[in-house]
Amino acid sequence: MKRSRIFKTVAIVSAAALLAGSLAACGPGGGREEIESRTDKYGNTLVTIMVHKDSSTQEGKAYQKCVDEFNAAYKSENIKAQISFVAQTSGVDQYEGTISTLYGQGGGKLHDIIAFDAPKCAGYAKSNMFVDMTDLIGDYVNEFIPASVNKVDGKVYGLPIQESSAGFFYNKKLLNDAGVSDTEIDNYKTNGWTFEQFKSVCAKLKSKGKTPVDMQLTAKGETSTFLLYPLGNAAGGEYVSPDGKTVGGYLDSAETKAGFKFIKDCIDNGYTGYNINSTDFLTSDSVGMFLSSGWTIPEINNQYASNFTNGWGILPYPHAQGKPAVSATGSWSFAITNNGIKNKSAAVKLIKWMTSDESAKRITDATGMLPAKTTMQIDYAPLSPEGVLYDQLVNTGKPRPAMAAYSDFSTEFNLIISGLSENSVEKVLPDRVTSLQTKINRNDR
Amino acid sequence: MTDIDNTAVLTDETTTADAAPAPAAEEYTKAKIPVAKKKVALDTAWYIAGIVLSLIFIMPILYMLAVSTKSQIAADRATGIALFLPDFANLGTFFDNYAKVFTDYGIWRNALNSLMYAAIAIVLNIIVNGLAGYVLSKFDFPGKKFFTAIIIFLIIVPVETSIIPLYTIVTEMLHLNGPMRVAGVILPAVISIFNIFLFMQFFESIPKDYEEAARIDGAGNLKIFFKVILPLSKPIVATVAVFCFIGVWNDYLWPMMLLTGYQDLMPIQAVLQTIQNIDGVTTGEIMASLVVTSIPIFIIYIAAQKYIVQGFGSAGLKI
Amino acid sequence: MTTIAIIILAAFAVALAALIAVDIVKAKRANVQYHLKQCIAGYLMMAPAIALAFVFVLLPILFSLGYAFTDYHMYYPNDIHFVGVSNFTELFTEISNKGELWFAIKNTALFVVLVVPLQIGLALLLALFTNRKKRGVKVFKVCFFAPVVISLTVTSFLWLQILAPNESGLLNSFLGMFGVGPIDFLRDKETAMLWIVLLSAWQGCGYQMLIFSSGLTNIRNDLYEAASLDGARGWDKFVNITVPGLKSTLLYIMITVFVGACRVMIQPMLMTGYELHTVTLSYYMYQMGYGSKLIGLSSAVALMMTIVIGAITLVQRKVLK
Repeated sequence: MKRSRIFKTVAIVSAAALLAGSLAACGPGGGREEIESRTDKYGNTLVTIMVHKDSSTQEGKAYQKCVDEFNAAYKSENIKAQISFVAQTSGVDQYEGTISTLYGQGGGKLHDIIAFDAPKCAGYAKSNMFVDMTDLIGDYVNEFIPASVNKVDGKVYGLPIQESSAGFFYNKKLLNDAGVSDTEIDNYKTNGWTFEQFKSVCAKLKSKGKTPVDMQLTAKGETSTFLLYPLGNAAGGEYVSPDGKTVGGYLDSAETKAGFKFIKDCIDNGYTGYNINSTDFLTSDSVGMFLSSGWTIPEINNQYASNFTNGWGILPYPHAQGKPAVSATGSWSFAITNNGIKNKSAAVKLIKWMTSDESAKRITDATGMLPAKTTMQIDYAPLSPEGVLYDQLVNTGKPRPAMAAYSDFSTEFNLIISGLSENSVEKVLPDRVTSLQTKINRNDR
Repeated sequence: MTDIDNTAVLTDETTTADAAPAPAAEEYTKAKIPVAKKKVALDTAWYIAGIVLSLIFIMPILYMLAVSTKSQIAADRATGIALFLPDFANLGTFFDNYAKVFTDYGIWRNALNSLMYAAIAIVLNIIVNGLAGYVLSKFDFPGKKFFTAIIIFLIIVPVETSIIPLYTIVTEMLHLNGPMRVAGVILPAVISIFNIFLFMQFFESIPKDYEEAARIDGAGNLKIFFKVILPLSKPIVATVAVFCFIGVWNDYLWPMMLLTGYQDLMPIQAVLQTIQNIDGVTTGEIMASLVVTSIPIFIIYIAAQKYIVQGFGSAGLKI
Repeated sequence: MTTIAIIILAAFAVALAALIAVDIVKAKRANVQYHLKQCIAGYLMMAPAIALAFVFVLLPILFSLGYAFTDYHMYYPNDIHFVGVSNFTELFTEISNKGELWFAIKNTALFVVLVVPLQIGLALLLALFTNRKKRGVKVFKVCFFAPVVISLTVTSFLWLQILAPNESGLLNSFLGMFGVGPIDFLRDKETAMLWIVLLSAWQGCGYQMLIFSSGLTNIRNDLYEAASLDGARGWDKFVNITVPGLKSTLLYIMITVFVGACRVMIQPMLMTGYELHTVTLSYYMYQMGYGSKLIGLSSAVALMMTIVIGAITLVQRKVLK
């Protein structure tokens, strides 16, 4: 009896001590080291950069080449750049994990420049991980497509490496067979088209027994968000308040609802659906249009060209009558980090080099993506697939909402899209507005 | 279930009947013949059921093998039963994906890394956990109950942990940096509470006599462990080795995080992840790389199968 | 971090010393003598295991649990505050408002209740099926074990094709022959979780089959022979000899399958993505930690899960013993 009580007391006390110890772990973290600059043993100023691709990929090799050229050019100034490759992975993303772990240590542990996916900008900027480079780069920002520059509250935090857009890939034969002439298609490409025109094309395709459009409603994750968010904007709506903190009155505004209703209409009329095989457009002649991003262009050219003997192309995003067209933008960018190194001059030199016209050309040649610079000589044929996408980028591009809790927005957006399979827009939205607001509040500090 | 079957095992009904114990057959009364027939029918049913079940369970392998030989468009177009068959129209490109995996993505170096890490981890795993299991099962010392309780508790209540504190421990507390990070990859694979438990249970079934005989001969504790206990424990050693190997071979998140920037030291799964994230990689290439990396596991598992069953069996697993 | 680790180490050492003292006192009262040399040798031989377990098992657990009482955010690694139990009140509010966490709990409970008996039943059937001395048994066993070894990516690729919601899906093309369908199995609120249960049981049961097989070989053959002489039939033998003989194996398997089932995440993640009708607790926790970056809150979910799972397994163990 007595002995067991001793045992229990000891166990409880030690458990409490353990817990107290681990709680102390969470007090204010150790002070972050600050240093003026980083040098190697030869006295060169070191500037480091981290990218999200493996060094063996074409894109990785392009980054390496750009850094090599930088080192050759700046040898006389004793500046040396070093590049690290940390491949981004699905699931638990080790690239992101590496960034936040290194950031926590200060003293230049985190690289001076890092690549990041555009919608994450607001979160990083707000946590003070990114340097406001508005003044550091000055007029240089004007060399980029305005919608592609990563801005939060009007300050520049990131410069695009390359750009991507999305559009409705179409099978020319099916559209022609359904009575949509080439002139009509070209007209939509040059002047844009409305939701109603879009639906009438779908109706024609449907009457021929084809699936009119695969909107990738089941693509999951960021893909769905990236492809579908412009439709809400193209109906004149917004998703969150400009400061990224309020959802009510934005996500459930009449305009944004009209965008979701357009998607819901297409589902209800059988124009699109959740049970379309995502490769059907590419491998058969059963699907007329396919909403996808620019990387489907090389995919078709390399793998599926044989399915499109009569040709294919890209139609821009449709928009509500009387509202301006909106298209998807936002790819990977470079930012300068607050890594505990005070002197940012070498970092500015490197970021300018990595986003120069020559570097941008080298990188986009490797990836098949679009350049994000207006200073570059662009020679895409006007109505070609690339031409349509580039035109969208420059004229109608609008980035995804800038908010610290962006990943929560993406989750909730996906839940809305999948909720539309059974319920009306009116029924789906209220829960999601509440849930997203809760998540934003949790993330706010 | 318990009948001892000494007939040659063949699926064909007639040959099985022929192989039945012939000399005595004539002396059997007629009543016994239907019994033999019934047995043959049961055997046949057993084999058919076994084959059907096996097919259900190796579906993913068949699928993986089939896709690994197809081009992207053929893989996408395959539906129904064609999912599990190669693309007969283009047999000329049968091994193209494999060629690409070996030449373009060069996974040899990383496969060797993984083999080396696994080998080190297995040896240390057996020594470290085996010693602990030995002490806990055979020694009497104050605090023994405490350790046993902790082990049982950690097995039945596995705590959800994130990888973040582990990363901080390895890089900031142990200061494992540079190529020393490899130690950070291997060491967490060395300690396994579950293996201590397995060893503990297995060693308990070894009679004390062996140990005492050795002790009388003047052997020390370590000598007894390595020369007497381990040789008597082949099944459990094999079991632990196989599962340690599978663990190290399949792990990717932790080594990738830790070995960032040391491409030469990355294990095989890290390369697999990289391949899967390359733009423009085809499903066929992904499957080919998965086939290649699954082969060692199968070989090791099949080789050690006999011991694994004994290992679990003798341990008894009294939780 | 290092300082805290040292504090924990000290606490651990104090606890250990106290327990050893208790044991020594107990032994003295019971007039039992420890051999000092043996004790020292024992501790030395356990030292590597203790050291490694402390650093790589215990410390991460304690740190993770500690985060549950903080506002640790992945983007603010230098700005962590103790927030008491506010993470837990936040979570309870979400449950009472029937938010995502409520769905996660509901789905996980459904999954566990279905998958545990199914997977154990399948494993036992397979073990009984392969418990014969016949040529080919080994091949069958290797086949049944195959899904355990094959990566989850492959199996989910495959199942996505089998369950595809259109005619290209294996199951729908089969149903199509009878004029049924096509059915969107994984989008259907009622059936999605059942398919995930089915494929999880199929994927995992090979491992438990192996353990059951070992348990079966441990049952002495003479018991069956004696029973046969007494005229016992197959079912009687199963109930009276096989089941009691497998008792400790069964307890072990029940606990491990239960714990594994409570942590299901990969299957819904790969099969449906984050959907209200398939989200599970681990998936919710993952999304909160790696998606929303709220390590503190997700650690609180982890702590709650640990407590609930632990309590249930302890009860299971008590009852079944």
